[in-house]
Amino acid sequence: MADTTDAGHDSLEAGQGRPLTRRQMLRQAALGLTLLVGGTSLLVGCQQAPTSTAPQKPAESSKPAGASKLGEAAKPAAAASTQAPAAAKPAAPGKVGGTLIVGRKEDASSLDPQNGGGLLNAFPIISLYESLISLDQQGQIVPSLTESYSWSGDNKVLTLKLRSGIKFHDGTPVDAQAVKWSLDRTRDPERGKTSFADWKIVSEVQAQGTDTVSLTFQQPSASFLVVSLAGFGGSIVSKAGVEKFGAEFQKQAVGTGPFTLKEWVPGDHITLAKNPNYSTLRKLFKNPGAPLLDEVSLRVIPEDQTRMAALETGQIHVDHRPTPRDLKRLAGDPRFVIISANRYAAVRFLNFEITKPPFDDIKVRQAFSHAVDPTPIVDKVWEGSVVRNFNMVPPGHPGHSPEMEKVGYSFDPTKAARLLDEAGWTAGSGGTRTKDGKPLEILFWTYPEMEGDAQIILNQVERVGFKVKIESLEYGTFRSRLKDAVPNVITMSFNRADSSVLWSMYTWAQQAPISRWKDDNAKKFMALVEQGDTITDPAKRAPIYLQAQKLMVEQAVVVPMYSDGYSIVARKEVKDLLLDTSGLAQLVLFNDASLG
Amino acid sequence: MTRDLLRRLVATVPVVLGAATFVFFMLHLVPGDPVDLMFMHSPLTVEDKERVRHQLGLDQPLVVQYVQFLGRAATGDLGHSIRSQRPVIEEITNRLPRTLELAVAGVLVGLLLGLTFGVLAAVKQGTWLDTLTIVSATLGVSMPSFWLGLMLIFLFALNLGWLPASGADTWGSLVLPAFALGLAVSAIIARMTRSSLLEVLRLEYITAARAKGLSEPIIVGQHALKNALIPVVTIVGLQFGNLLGGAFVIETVFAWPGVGQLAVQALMSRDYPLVQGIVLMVSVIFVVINLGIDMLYRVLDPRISYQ
Repeated sequence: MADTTDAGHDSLEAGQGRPLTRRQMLRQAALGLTLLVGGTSLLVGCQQAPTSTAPQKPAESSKPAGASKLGEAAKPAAAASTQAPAAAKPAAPGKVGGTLIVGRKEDASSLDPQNGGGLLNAFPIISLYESLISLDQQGQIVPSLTESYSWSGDNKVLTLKLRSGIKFHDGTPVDAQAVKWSLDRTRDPERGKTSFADWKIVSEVQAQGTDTVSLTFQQPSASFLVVSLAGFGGSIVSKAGVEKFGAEFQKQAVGTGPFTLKEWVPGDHITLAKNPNYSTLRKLFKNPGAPLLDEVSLRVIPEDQTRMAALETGQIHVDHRPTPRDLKRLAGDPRFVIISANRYAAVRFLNFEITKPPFDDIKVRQAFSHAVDPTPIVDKVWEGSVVRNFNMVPPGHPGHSPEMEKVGYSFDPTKAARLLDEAGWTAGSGGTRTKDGKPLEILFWTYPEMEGDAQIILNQVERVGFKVKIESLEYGTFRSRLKDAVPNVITMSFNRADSSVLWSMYTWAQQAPISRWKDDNAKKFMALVEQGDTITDPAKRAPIYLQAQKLMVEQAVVVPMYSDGYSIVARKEVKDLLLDTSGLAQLVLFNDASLG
Repeated sequence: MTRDLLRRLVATVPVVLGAATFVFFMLHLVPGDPVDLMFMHSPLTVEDKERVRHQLGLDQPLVVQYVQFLGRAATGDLGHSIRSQRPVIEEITNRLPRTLELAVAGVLVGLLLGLTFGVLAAVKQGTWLDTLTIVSATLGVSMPSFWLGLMLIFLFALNLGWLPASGADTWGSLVLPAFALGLAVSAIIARMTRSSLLEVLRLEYITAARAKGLSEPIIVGQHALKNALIPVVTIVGLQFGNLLGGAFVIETVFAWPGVGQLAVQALMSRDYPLVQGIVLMVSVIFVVINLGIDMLYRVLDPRISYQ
């Protein structure tokens, strides 16, 4: 990396340092013209090969499906059951020292876990702070700042025993009072903008002695532990730090995490320095003490191809958001290692506007569902980096079941055509069906990320007689205009690392078509998902969420499509990176990481 | 001169005010809700969102928001970013030096290449060199900057390994974005320099200079070029403003931590105060540069007066 930047430095200085005579200037101009012409020809030549800006290496393209790591990640059954962390884990401990450089697509907006921003902030926050509890690689709850926790008999009081001897980065102790103060700050609606909605069910936080904290709930909540307490919004912040820095706290970050904040240059980089006093009980890590790396630099490189070029040239060590195409291209390349998470949090689906024709008729919705085959989307658009999901619950979470494949609508164009016949839509000239003189025209809204999906779906459903018009809207516009119920069908995506994604997609989406499903089945669905959240035993939750999903799919309100896999690419010298399993974003844990 | 300057300074106020007003209302007309985007993955109820909107002052009538915005802006307070909650002024001033650095480098690249090729093409009018310059200039103007940026990364970072693909760590990091930004400008400058110089070279005082036996380089360099540069200066001024706009794309491609990158993020998250602040800042810069260019005319040609 040093070689690259040094070379650039020299080349610029050589051009700037010397005063030029006019004769020299003319000579150099002639040389420059030659270079420009040559460069232009080259650029024109490059334009004729638009497949990729990255170099095509024959050895890579000839590798057989090479994506073995991706393939493994793409199997929901394996992901849910093998419990094998996808990160490479060599037996020997890694090298101590060095700076790991990670390329990120976007910068954080705040490093205060309880004060606004979104998931982009979670990436640095999980290295700067810790929550009371955490998740292991299988999504099971494990202690973090706590030694142990227990529920009361009625599942309404959660008692957490804190680890002793833990201190914030500023040296103040993590005792019961400090934790109570931080949790109260989190659930304060005036201040906690990230997560207070999830925390509304907590009626009281009490400090008992110096090492015990209890949370009292208005009603039991199974998702609370996973989503809220273990999530980055539940991070424990230093009261002394908040009081010292005031409004500047969001740029100063005082937590208990394995790294401290060294520097933040907005839009450019965040540098984390190792916390030499760090220790953890989390079995997830083989290193229970301070990180091996001296520093981690999180660099913002918004453009996908630039970030990949920076990885390939060694300017960064990790590309945090590789495109599916690059993941496939680099699979099997000995210079890189692809690290995939073994759990999922996202569900992507189609959602019908059932309040207006033609999708107010369940037969037309069913016909559309039978005409759609998500498999080519998984294979071609996403290059196998997502996994086909017949469920509305992400793989690995209670209620996700292979049974849903039978409940859903298999790809069957013949059946789709028959259903449309039954609904009175008759085949007409030009391939588009009509009813009472009106063509079967559908307005399909999507957003740029899912345009490829929409194009394939258009091709599939037009074969059975739909006439589809796709409109791709910038995401903010897409979200904002949904409430007007203009489109007939949309693409949707929801993220939540728990089966309660069913609850959030219905209650949260006040604007989306799904929220206008209000018949008796919808009421039953809502009752089930609310009941599911009050049961803390995953085995008992599963059938409830399964039943809720069945209602949603049987009524053809939605068409489940796939769940996103999480993969990052690192240079081969990077060892022992772990992906966080909270699953809401691609978060990386650096506790064990080293450079060689 | 001072009265000229003052009069023109006063005349810039409606321009900046107009830009601010236009952007304010355009921005609010574009669909998209900052609160909705902020809580994309949080299950907030309608009441929760309304409360946050109230906290941010977004529930006020648009005209009230507009008056508040202008009132604050007049005192130098552009409000707080919705996303980061930091003062907009701070967000912009943190990034502005980077953008100016890039824009100045882009102009320098444009001037260096544009003047060189423009002069060569004029002097060698009708030769292959002239034709080549015109063709290259046309190509240069036609190439989209993001595509050119990616091609430069492909060639000089990925294949040759001479320069870093992104970032703003070293002077080397500046080379590729400055070229991506400056090449289109150089094409425009080259064409303008060529035509302007050709016009001047046909004037009688140049013929007189030739009759006196002066060498061609002295005629072009000392006598013709200064007069030919006046329209070029205008173009450079206007292009500097365009470069600030072009930087929005180039900064994203090259991960250059300037105002352009910030603006793109702000637009995506409907961070109204931040977008408004950036546009206000860019319009002020644009107006100031144009004012400076107008004043520069008088230095280049004392016959020009604004009376």
